[in-house]
Amino acid sequence: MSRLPTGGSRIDRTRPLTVTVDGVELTAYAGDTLASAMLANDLDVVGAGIYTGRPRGLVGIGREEPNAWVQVLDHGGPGTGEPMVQATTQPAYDGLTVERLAGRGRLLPHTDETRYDVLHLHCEVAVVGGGEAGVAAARAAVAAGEGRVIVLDDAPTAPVVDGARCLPDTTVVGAHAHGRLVAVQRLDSADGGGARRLLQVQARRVVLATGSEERPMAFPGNDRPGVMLAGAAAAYVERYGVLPGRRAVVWTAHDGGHAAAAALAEAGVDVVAVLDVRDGDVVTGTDGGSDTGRVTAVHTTSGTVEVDLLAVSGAVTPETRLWTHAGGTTRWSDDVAGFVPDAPPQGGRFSWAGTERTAADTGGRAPAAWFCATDLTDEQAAGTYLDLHRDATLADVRHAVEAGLRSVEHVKRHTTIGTGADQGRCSGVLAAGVLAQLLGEPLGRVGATGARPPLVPVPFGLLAARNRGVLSDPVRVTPIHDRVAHAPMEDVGQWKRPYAFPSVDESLDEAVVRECRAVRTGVGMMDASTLGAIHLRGADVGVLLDMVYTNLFSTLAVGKVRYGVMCGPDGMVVDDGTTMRLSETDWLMSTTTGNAAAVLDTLEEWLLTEWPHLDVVCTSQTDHWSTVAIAGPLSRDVVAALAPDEDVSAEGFGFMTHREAVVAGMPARLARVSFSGELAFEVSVPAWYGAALWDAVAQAGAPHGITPYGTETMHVLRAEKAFPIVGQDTDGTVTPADLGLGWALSRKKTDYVGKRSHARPDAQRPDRRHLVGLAPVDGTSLIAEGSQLVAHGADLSATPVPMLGHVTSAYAAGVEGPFALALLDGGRDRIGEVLDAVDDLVGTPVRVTAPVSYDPEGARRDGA
Amino acid sequence: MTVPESTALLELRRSPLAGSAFGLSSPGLTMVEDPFRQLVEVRGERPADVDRGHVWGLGPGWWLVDGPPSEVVALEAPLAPGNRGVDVSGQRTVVTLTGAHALTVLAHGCPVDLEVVAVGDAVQGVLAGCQVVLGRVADDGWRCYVRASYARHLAAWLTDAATPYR
Repeated sequence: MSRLPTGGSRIDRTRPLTVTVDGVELTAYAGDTLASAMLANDLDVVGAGIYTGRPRGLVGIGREEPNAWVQVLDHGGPGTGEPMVQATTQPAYDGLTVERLAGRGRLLPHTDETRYDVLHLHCEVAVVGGGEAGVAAARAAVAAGEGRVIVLDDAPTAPVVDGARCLPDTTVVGAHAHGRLVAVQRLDSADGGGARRLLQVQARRVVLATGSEERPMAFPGNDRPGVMLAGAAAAYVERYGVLPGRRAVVWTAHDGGHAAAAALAEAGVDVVAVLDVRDGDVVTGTDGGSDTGRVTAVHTTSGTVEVDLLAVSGAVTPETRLWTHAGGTTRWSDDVAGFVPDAPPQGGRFSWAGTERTAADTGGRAPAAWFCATDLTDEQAAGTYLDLHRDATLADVRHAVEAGLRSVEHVKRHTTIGTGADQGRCSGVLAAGVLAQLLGEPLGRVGATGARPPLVPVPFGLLAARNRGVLSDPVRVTPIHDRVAHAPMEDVGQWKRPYAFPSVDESLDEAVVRECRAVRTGVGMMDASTLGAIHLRGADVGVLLDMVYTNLFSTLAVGKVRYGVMCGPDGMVVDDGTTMRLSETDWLMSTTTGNAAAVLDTLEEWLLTEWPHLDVVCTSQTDHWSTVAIAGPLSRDVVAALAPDEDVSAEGFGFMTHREAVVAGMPARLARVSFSGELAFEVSVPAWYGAALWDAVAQAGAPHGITPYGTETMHVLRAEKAFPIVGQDTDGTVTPADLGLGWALSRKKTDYVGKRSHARPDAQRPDRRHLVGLAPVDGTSLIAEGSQLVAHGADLSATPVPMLGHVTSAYAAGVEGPFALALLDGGRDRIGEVLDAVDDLVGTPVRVTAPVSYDPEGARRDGA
Repeated sequence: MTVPESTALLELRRSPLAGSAFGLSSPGLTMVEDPFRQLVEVRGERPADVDRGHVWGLGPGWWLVDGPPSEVVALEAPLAPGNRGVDVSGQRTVVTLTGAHALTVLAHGCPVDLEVVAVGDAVQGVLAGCQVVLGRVADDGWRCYVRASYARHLAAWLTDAATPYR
């Protein structure tokens, strides 16, 4: 044991605990990290080189540690575990079970059941770092009355600042524009379990008081256990009461190394020599034991010493990663022999608070910017590790330069130095310094590699937090959902909609055939509550609609319904739907299910930006209405039974009209619209009556054999009538004329959104892609959705095969058998031609037909 | 179109969270559905206060009036002269959150700064992926207006988020 009998500012000796490393139990105390527990139990080897497999020891005490990365098998809670955990930042607690790694972890073989959550925090001032500078900044912010002040500190015990909220165990992993911080808070450091919280912090002002970090120097044989950072070695004594070695040599390039040497000596380490680069002393090699390879002797320019600890310190420099995350720049400083904050991030929200003292401040000697000797042989260079985490050496950097690379970023990618999970804290500046030496350029010009979030590895499970499984994305359901939930569902955006209603002895395809036949010959019912609804009110609604729809709406009489097509300024179709006029000033627009929010946004945008003088108010009524469509030649009988007070005859209730009515005792709106070409009605009630409406329609329809139908039947029925589905039969390159909706392009109106584009020669080319129908030549073959259309008999092995178009919708259950809709170059002039629809390199001969394949005369609209 | 209120009519109603067993009552947190409210979106001047109800500002000249379940079920709610209101009663249901942990539960999923919302004010935002209006009725009391189609998802999410506060 290397635990001293007393001391250790972070440990509680009254609370012993046990952690398990590769099956061996190690005793530790509450407050220990896994790394200090390893050190206290004389575990010399904490990992192995990822490529060399060489045994590696502990180097650092915090986030700079390159070697001590472990696989957590169990955080002390069921279903927990974590790959690639840094032992120096992992609290020790009873039950923690880990395996050492060779630089690479393994994905968990099970679902990560660790408790993760997210919390959004807001403050006026966020201080990152709870050290001297952070506390001073927080006190100043409180004293200035700046409002809510939060201190985020990654130490297990946060400072106390009156008037500020101090969060311990909290590591800020990203600093972003506009004062946004992302942090990880440990909730488990006392009791284990691995629980963590992702904090999304929004601050008006951020003070980065992230302190400093220590970097090593490189030399041949520097990867042996027992080679540590000097400041880290001293800190293990102070924080955890653990001796990192018995007999040590300290090698430094700055005054801080001498202070570390003094601290080690005071703790009882036999410090046999303190060597300083500035005095010409350089470490030239090491010897190691035959068992763990731990250092036994250190060769230097002034002789050989026998030790079990080589404590090295190249420099202590500001930790600027969050500063650069947010867009701040750094510059090389000879005063600290490192990169320091320069220009702050844009926007004025971030500032730097540091207590770094340069040699000039303290009256000491200036540090030396020493990285590695320049006169090493190739053999020595291959044993001089610049990045222990990536097993990359001086020889690798030499190879990169010999290959012609000059940029520090290119050398990083060529050698992989600094690309590891430790983010190259011990290696990045070292490699840049070596590169500068090799190129003969000043380090300030070579520069440092960029740092990107996250600052430390973050489990994917924490990013997902509670939003997993059924909570990963909202599922939207209609008020009728429970009545139809037994059916197989189709995802339509976030909605769940019944695909079809197969009986127990029926396949899905058979169900669709039966449902289609029911609507064509009898009566069917479907839940249409997902359609978007936008209430429009004002004296100028007609003017607005005349502009956003391609056809004329201002002439629509109260009580009437009109179908409209909406285009973008580029003239391409963006939505379609029906709009009904409720009164002189009130209108109700319906949109496609997936487009409700986008259409409302478009209307609001035009009203706010181009036509603010129009008297129109838009109110979303999506979700307010629950709608049941009743379709088929017998639908009139069903509606008559539901609304006995209404005249629903062909004369009394014309096509494309609507009215308020009492339906099954409920307040409702009745409309005669059809998405199938059959006689059809839509009944809408306020949402909380939706389920009751569904029951009432089913009951009233029972004598007529009413058949519930799903989205697939709806699609078949509309496709036979060539009613397009925006987003399926269109893709942002399709005009109304391409769809055969040229009749909906008003010639009378002086303007509408898209009119100028429709006048362009390109929009009028005769060979544009037109919506057409397709039927298999053999009458039975299925056509695959997404198939490419090519000339009949085209050689599919030739490249390229000229594409003539593609299949947008395809169905098996048409009245005449399988059929499809397609977009085809000059399609309206190809009707009757035979083409091949190619799917997976197999061509199916298809005949081009008119898009409307059923009842082209519209004879069924008023009932059979 | 109005239909005289009747017991038969009231019994036809079904709230978005009916049957979902949603609800929590613990010392620091109470969550419950307050269904069948009369909700009207109004543009123009601020409407008069509503007895046993709330008037929330959603934006400049944009209001959400939340009144008790009405005596008369109407497609168009009666409004003060000069105001333009659209009935959206069926569009949302209300979940009330009360207690010391109410704000924290919301902050687990809502990126809006709720601490600065004054009692009597409301904010629109996204909570757990659902568009919501959050109205503050007391220091520790909130009314969460959620679209009917999202209500079950939000209820499941709230139930999960409240786990540490049971």
